[in-house]
Amino acid sequence: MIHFHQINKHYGNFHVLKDINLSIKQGEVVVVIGPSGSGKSTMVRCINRLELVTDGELIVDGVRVNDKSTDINRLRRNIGMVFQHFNLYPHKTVLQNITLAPTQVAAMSKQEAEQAAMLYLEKVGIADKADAFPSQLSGGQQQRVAIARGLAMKPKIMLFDEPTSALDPETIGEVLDVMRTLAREGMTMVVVTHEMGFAKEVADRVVFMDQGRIIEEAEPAQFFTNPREERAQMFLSRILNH
Amino acid sequence: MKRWSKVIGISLAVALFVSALSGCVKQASEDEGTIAKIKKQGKVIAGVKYDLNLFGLKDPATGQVQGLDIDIAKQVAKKVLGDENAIEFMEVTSKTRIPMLKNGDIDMIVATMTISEERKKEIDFSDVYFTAGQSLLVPADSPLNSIKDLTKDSKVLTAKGSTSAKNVREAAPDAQILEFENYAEAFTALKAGQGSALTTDNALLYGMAQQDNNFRVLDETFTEEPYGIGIRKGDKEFAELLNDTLKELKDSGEYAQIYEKWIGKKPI
Amino acid sequence: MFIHFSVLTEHLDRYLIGLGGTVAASVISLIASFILGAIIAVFRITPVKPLQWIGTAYVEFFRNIPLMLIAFFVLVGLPLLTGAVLVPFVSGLTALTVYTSAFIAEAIRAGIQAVPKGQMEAARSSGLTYIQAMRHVIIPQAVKLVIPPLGNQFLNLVKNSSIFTILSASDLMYQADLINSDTFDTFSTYIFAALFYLILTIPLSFGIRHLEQRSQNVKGVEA
Repeated sequence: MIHFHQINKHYGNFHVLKDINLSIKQGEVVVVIGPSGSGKSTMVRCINRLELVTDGELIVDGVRVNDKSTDINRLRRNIGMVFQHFNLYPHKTVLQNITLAPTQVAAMSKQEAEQAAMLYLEKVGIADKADAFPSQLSGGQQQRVAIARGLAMKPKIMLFDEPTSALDPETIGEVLDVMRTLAREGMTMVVVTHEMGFAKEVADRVVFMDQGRIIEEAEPAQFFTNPREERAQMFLSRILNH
Repeated sequence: MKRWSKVIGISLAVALFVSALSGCVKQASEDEGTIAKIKKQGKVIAGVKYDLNLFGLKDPATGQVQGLDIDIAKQVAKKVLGDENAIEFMEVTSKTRIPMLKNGDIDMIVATMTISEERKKEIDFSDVYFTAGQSLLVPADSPLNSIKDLTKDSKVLTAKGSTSAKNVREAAPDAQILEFENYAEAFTALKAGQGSALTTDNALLYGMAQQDNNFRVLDETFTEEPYGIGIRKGDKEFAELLNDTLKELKDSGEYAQIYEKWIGKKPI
Repeated sequence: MFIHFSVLTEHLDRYLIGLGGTVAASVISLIASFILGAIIAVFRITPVKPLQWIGTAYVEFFRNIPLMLIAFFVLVGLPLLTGAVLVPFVSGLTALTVYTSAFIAEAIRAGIQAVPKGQMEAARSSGLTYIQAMRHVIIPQAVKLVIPPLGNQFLNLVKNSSIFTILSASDLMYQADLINSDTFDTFSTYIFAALFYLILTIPLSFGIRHLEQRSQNVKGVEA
């Protein structure tokens, strides 16, 4: 479903991604972890071309992402994305946030889109907030709306870029619950997170990155109990014993 | 509560604005004559033009102002203080000269100012020191040869605050009049094709035609413009002194010399 | 008392003609400079480099020279360079529009760029095109940010229309100059001119504040 082949990326002189090779199968949940500045967010943002790669080949859903002939808007319909800071549209209600793309991009009727949106809101557990504005919701509620918005285009892939990092501790759980449900339903997910518990429980595979490179790739059971690489060991000991 | 503070705020702002402006109005001391003021200052402050060839023109190279008005003003300084260089020149425009005189910023106006009944309500004048006539400056190839040739399509350029606009309105009621800040701007606008003619006293027009020979002055004049020295109203003592000065200059032949030096011919 | 009301009563017709000129100049310039400013703002934020350069050059040039110079250029330079002689009123409109549009372009650009980057990313990642994202997500939020600086520009525009006088185009200031040269009562003449300007600008000022408050009270404005 997603194939990174020898991907490199530079910001000016800064080499952000170095020789990334990674394949993610349909239905797989891959959790990307690593210290900040290791390039994990950048890597995920390459998948829907929010970031351009400098060289290498990136194929998503059978499409070469960085080909000039690629209709990026078409590809993006199949990829939902959830951001650290939610990025909900503050001037639109919860319902309008969710129906914008379906009505504009998928040419769904307003009524159809709203019905679908209500289903997703029920799924994330806040159907009663449909007419509220984002500023009236808690962080956890906002992030659940953002997930519903991402799902509204019926994507094949969901990307999560540190979805719980900006949340109060007491609302992290409700967001992770929604993500857990999604994973169980077979959604292909790429998740950048620091939630090790979530990674252990839900991930099919853990990818550990440092300084722009993928250092280790393993099943969570193996990775968390017995990491091969020294840098991964250090990272885990720091994170788990702080 | 909020509304009240708004009302009070605005009233305060307006009060402040009005008092600030009225503070700017310096009152020339009424009881002190101009001659006494000049003696106290040790110099005459004359309002003159800086942008008028032949009458009052500042030479950018030397910083000196030169012209017929300047020479006349120096003679006044010589008369009062015995030194023709005991004088300070201040630039005035047609718009600023009367307010500046009334404020006491300047002691007299020697700035090609026509003596008119309307102005006499505000200030006093000396006797005539130069007689000009209003005419038109037109492009050398212009078909215009008389004020009568002006039609409703003609645009006549002049400066604000001058009698020229009024005179041309009477002589050619159909023509459109455009009034600029000063004659330099009006002349620039004429060069740029913004009008068909520029009007003011022929004495000034000759100066412009001298600068740029793509323009000519019509021979015909349609007014008589007697220039006088403007002074504060009611200062009879100073008026007499000015008139004496002018008379002495004429009698001694010095006036004729000054006239010829600038205008290029003898006075009539 | 320095103020003579006779100046007002005897020359009311000219003040009103001038006021009409100022209102007409302001309204026409306001519309024209808004349209021109919006186009330049688009140039400034578009990813197309040459358009960006044009937009930047326009803004930096016209924003950083005095309006009076622009006015003179339109009056004198334009005819010498192109042979196009504009009547004074149109010269004034041109100068005022060109000058004001540079400021309006900046206000609009700043408003659009003040919308957090994540908004565009969220919109684009859901499959919206750049134009759709602008229309549905960015511009509605930018409008609220742009209203206050735009209001200030419109106030400035009304006051700046007083350059019409140096082009001998009939506005409030031009008529006041002419009244002054008739009455020689400089103080009274310009006090009343100021009063007429205030009649125009104070309601405008309050209107702008009202609009600002209303846009701030809309729910969900804070990002």
